[in-house]
Amino acid sequence: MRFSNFVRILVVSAAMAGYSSLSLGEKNKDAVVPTDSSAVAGIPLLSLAEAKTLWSDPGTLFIDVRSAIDYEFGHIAGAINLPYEEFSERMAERKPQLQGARAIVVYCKSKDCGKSLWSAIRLHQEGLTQARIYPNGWNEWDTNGLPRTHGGR
Amino acid sequence: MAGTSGTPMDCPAPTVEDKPPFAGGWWSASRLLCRYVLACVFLMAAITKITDLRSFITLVQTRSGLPYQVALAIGAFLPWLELTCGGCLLLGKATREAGLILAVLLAGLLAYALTHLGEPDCGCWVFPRLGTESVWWWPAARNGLLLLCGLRVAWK
Repeated sequence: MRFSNFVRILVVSAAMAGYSSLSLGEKNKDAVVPTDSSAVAGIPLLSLAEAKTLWSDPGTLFIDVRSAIDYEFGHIAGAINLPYEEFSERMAERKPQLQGARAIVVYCKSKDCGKSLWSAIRLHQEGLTQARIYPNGWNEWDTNGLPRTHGGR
Repeated sequence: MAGTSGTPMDCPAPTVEDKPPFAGGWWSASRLLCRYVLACVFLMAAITKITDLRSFITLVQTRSGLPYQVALAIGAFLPWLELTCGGCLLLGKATREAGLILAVLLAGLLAYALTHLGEPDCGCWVFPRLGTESVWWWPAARNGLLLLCGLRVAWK
């Protein structure tokens, strides 16, 4: 067994990981920052294009506030489930993770669902001011054929 | 006769005790089998993750309990390490080293599976996600078998 082979394997892996991270970051370079005109209660509202751009950034965390059943049936790829009804109970365990995120995108089913707004307000109250709302939510994302997955919480 | 004259060499004749243990063909064959099994499993697992890297990074963040930046770094690095090691095993380059790296990785995954028995499988592998209510031992058993394969490949 050669030490140099270990080094080679790790260097090659790190180089590829670095390159892929740069590519992800590059996609996010032209991110559109929402203006105050597209905000509710001081919380920015995201369009589909903005949500899509933020989705490409690994530092963004998507939160699905729909029920666990809806979430398991299908959700935005990479999103975590934090149902509005369980917000208080599960906030404590999630908070360290949420604090580390560069941006948090909260979404629900569609514009008609107010859970994303109330959840985002509560996140802001918890000091997580990087929270934003994607008001058109799951329905628009899914209709546009964007990355989705199912199962798991 | 040319080449047969001169003094005999001092090299002693091999004895039964000098033969390496497990010198039989089955032992070599088992290493080859383990090598290809690991190569297939890890190449497919890596490709699955790399094609949806965003989801895998989030999965690591939500499941590991590690600090955010550490989970982010691990989530971004791990699939490429799996790809490199899988490629090495498939091509027969640095196989022992790749086998040992994967064995260390699998030991960690086995420890995680043992401490989280009965929880839903992460679906990070190409194996079917069996119902953890009835087959609660599956993730641990699968990781244990793969760990044995890794150790066998790392063993000379």
